[in-house]
Amino acid sequence: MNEKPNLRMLGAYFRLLMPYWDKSVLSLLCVGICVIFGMVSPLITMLLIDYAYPNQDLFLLTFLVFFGIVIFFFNTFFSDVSEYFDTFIHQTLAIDLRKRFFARLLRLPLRFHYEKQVGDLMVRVTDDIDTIVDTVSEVIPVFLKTIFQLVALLLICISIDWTLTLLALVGIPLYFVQTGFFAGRFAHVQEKSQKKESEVYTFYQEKMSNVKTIKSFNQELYETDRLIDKLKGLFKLVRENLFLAFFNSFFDAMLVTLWISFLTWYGGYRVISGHITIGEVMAILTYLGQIHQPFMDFGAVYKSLISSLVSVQRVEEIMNGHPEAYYDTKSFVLFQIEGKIKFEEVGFHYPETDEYILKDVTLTANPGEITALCGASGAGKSTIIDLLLRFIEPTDGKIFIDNYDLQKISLMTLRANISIVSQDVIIFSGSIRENLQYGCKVVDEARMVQSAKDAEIHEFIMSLPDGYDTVIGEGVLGLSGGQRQRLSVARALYRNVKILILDEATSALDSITESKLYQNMKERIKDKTVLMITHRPSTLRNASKIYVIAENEISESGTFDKLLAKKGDFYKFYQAQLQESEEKIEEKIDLIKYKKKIAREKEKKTRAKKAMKLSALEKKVLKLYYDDGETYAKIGKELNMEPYDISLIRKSAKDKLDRMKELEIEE
Amino acid sequence: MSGPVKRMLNTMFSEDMAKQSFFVEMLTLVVFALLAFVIIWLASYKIPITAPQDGQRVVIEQKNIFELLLSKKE
Ligand SMILES: Nc1ncnc2c1ncn2[C@@H]1O[C@H](COP(=O)(O)OP(=O)(O)OP(=O)(O)O)[C@@H](O)[C@H]1O
Ligand SMILES: [Mg+2]
Repeated sequence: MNEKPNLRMLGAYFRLLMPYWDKSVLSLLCVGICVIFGMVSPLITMLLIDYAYPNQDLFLLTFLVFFGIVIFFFNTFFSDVSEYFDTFIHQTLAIDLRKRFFARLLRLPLRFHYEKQVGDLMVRVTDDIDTIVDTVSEVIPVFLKTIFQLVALLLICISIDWTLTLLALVGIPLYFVQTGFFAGRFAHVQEKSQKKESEVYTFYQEKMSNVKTIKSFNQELYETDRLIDKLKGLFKLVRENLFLAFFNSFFDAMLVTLWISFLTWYGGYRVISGHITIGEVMAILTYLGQIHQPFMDFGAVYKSLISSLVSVQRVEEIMNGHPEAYYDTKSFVLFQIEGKIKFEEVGFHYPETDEYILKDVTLTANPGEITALCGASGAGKSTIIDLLLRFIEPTDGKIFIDNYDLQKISLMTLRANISIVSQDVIIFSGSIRENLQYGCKVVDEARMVQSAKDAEIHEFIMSLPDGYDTVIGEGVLGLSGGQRQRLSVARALYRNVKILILDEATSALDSITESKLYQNMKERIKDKTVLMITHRPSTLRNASKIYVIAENEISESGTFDKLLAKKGDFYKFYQAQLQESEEKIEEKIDLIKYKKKIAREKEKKTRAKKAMKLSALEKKVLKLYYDDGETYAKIGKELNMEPYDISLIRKSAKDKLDRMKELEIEE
Repeated sequence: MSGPVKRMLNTMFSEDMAKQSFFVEMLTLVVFALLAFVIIWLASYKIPITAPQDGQRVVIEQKNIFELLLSKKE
């Protein structure tokens, strides 16, 4: 995959320009006209000097000026049009490429996303794609324009004076040597800075999404210092780039100046010796002065081409990644399924280690039953779910749904048949309705409300100002952990599919709400396969069958009562949890007492606030100050007080008034 | 504002990129045609170039602008 970047890789991107060929052609035509028209004005000057002035030809002078205006008009129009088309192509290409990239990125297996850093991917989706789009949309037009300009300039120069022209061309190879020298160095710095930039982005991303943790550890300053360190590295590279650019432009300018000086001298010599006219030398020097421009443009494009190869490689890494087999045509398509899940001697370890996270897992979950998984933290429960959703592939053994091998089921239909409430609940920003209907094309209001009711979140939603249309998410309405969980359960229920997975879906709920929720669910999940992961003994009672996972294996299985009677791992686990929950109950009682105390104090306070009133003096000061617009000095005189005291009264009265307004107390 | 002008302005600032670019394409083609006419007229028009001779202005050459631009003065 880490093939060295080459032009062939970039070639694929040029093919993206194909749909815009008509606009490209038009734009090139316009550019061609502009190039030709751009060359007319020195010739007009030549005619003026050689014909109109010496012959005192007023008509010719007038004609030439009008001719110049006409040329100018067309020139401006066509250059604007070509700019318009170039921008158009650039923009649409950028959108197109971003779309492809993003779609590809989301298709890549989770494995890939675990390995990459978000900041790095951000840079790729923004900077790298920009660089590629810039280059791809620019290279061909600039290249053609350059050639065109060069040919036109040479032709016209040769027709005026070929010896001078040939001498002028001697400077060109020098220019190429110079450009080649710098292009390689620029690319090198570019690669380094892109990497550094990715690091910085990743850093920002991680820190900003975890401000709470940083604050709670008092690490604001520390993190800022770390950022500075990272930025310093980036800054160094920017300076390096600047330095290079400085040298590059210095040598460019130097070369051009020397070249033109020489030509000026030689051109003058040709006039003095009578080979060409004054008008002609003026024209040819103007043209030769322009002749370096195409080379400079070409050099710039070449440099950007070389440095964009770095970006191409970074983007290609994503584009060439093996996506999950969404549309594998050889796979089974699941429509109506029973929902029976079977694991047969499944073993799993992550590719980078040999240490098995799961060994020999054999289990079945039948439709219409609740199958529970329990075990210590880190035992591998969530891993089993990941295997079922094919986020990861089993190392050994096989998994079946309705006797179809999971490997052979089309990934899309597999996931369409499974509804999951995962351990770390993700709620997207948007309205509650959008969140509940996420991933469902069918809109069914009644089902949505029913799902919310079953998840015990309906009442909360209705208490919000806009009900189901309330916008939640970052920077808007925050939800508590339990509310998020219930919303997530409602979302999973709304999908109404055969297999429902609850990975500690109710861990943040109090036991009363939780038991209500399970009561509601029992109705809903009659014919569904429910796979549930939980630590709570009370919840485990709901399960028809329990698998206990200990030391990477299934150590016991059976019904709740049977497992207890066995007095094995489950018994121990159960006892431990029970004890914990008793402790929790005590804690809760304390908590309730504490809450009551707070509530009482709060009531006292509000009563005190209700008693709040403005004194007559305060009212008067406020009236004079705000309504009549008097100064402190005047008010002081009127009330026979110091202006400073008045200002204090004014301030405290205003504060009081604001607070009263907040509490909606009548004045 | 009258109907067609308003419509034209609408398409020019249309949100729909495709519509707008189509308009610009058409406009460009129209200006191309205009340019062609101008060039044909310029090519057919011979400019009389005069010079003073013995106190009178005489026509020394008749050339169209393109010939004139690319000619070399002896
Ligand atoms: N992406 C990963 N790469 C390598 N190891 C991982 C990865 N994700 C999880 N693990 C490891 O796999 C083991 C099982 O993780 P898993 O999430 O299945 O535990 P769990 O039983 O769900 O625990 P919990 O009750 O805390 O949620 C853990 O020891 C963990 O360190
Ligand atoms: Mg887990």
